[in-house]
Amino acid sequence: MFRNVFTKVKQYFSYYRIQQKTAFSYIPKLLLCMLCFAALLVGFAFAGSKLLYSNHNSVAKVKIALVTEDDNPLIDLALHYIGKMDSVEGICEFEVTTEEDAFNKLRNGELYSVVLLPPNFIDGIMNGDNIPAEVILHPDSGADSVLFETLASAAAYTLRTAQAGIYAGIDTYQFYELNKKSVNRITNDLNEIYIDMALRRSLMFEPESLSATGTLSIGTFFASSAFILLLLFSGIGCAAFYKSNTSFLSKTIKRQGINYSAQIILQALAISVCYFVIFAIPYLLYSHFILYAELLTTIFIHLPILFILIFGICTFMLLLFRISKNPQTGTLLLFFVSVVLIFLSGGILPKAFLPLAIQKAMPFLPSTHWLSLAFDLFSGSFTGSALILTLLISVLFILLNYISTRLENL
Amino acid sequence: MLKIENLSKSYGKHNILNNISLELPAGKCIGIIGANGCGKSTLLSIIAGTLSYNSGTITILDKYPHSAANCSQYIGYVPQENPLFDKLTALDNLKFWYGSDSSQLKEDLSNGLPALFGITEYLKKRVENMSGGMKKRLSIACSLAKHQPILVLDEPCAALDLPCKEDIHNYLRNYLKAGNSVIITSHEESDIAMCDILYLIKDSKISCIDTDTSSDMSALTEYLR
Repeated sequence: MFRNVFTKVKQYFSYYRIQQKTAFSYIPKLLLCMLCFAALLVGFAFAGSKLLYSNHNSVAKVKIALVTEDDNPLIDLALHYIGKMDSVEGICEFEVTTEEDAFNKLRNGELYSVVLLPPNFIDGIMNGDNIPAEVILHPDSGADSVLFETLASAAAYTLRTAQAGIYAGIDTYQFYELNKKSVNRITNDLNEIYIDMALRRSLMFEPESLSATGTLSIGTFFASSAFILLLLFSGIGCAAFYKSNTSFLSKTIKRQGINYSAQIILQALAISVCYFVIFAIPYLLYSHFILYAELLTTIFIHLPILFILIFGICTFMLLLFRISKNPQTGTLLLFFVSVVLIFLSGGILPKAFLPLAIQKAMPFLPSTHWLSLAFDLFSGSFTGSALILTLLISVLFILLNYISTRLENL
Repeated sequence: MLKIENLSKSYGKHNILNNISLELPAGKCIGIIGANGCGKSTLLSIIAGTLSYNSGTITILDKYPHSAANCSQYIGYVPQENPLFDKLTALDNLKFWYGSDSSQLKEDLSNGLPALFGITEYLKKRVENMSGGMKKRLSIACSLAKHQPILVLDEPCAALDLPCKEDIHNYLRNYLKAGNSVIITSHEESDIAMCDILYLIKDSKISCIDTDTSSDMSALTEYLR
């Protein structure tokens, strides 16, 4: 019995050796394909970013014009003070200008809003009259204008509260007839404390970064998607390999004692090893030097996960070519299906931008789980669910390959 | 050597082979002829064990049931399309088909079928770079790696040059002289001429052709109409 098992294993190994040797001969084509598609993807990314960010307004600071007839030098001082605040400096840019100039620029889209300061505005703040300023936004501005308006109102309310605090402090001081010489000093101190607290709005908020790519950086997100697309598209270079086991060859190999399921698994394994050979070292360097992962962790955990991801994708490509009549049809099918799958899985546009129906369908797509595993690999934080689902998907594709082969060879 | 009784094969409602019976004696060559698409290759695939059949029995060497393992061990099969790995060399292909029997391969490369066919001259050559004749010779050598007593060939000399056909025929004659048996399908006159028994498949049925007629190609042509 052991001899039979040993002979069987030797037979399988002999067939695997054949497939591996054949697969290795495709490495130059694989590399060429990857280079071509990498160049294409970089080109698209470059063009896309140029398109998105060529409009400087989209990343430039919000320009706000201040219109005032007040010659009070404190306006410039206040403007300078507010403009240099941490929470404002990176976002807003103020300019003092005439009303006509401000409205012209607002109409032309050069300004985000115009703030009309009434006469004696500063005096009004100092004496408690608090004459309101008028904020004018472009009539066609969208939801961001509502946000701006809300924030501005909140700032004004906070300022009023701060003023109330100052006056309460001074009134209390005067009520208890404390040293009148100290009133000015105390008033200044209270002003500094309350106004500073009111205007340093960042103290009141807990900043939270929201990104369509979730916890992933934009670079990690697109690098992961590009990696999956690269794996898929480079399968085009191996079309002949995926179609090499013709019906009559499969049947003849089966005569040799190597059943269809073994043929499928060993063929997928062979081409997966080729991909792994290409990506293992670059990923090892990336994991160790960029993600700062331990070398042993990378070798014994991350690299096997990378292999499982590659294997899963290879079983999918094998299926596509198996159901195609010839390598050319398989190539077209692979290209089309890959683009559609990656798009629907949120690999091109993040999930947040996709319709709800697509978001609901995502968990049922194999590419969603490949992308999740790729995100894990590129970010260094792993969830077991993506790995398990990728493995299950691989098993499913092997089964589908088997069914396809059996139907073909009836 | 091989006995087929009441073999039937159909694809859905379409009957390809209907109650086929034939017997392959030892040391004899059986030829199977018929019009294109009549089921010759189907019959050979069934005999070789690469295709299932609906009903009937096939017995190998009068005692062994028709199974995948027995087919592989006792029947060498050379299909029309050469079952070779294109990207690999002749040696790699031979190594696969010889399996674990590396000593046998070494011996055959010295004075066996691969040596006889001159395959040793292009062992390092990739199959995709070989001529049709070289591929066919390599296919036959690979198929007979286990030195099976029965050889099934599906149009072995199609698209081959005359010297190559001569080599194959010479080999087959020697193979038959050693007591082995051959089943061959062909449209080639030279292939048919070396057959001892000729069968015709027509309308999914098989019939034996008179040996006198088998040497007359014009008469055979009439049979096929």
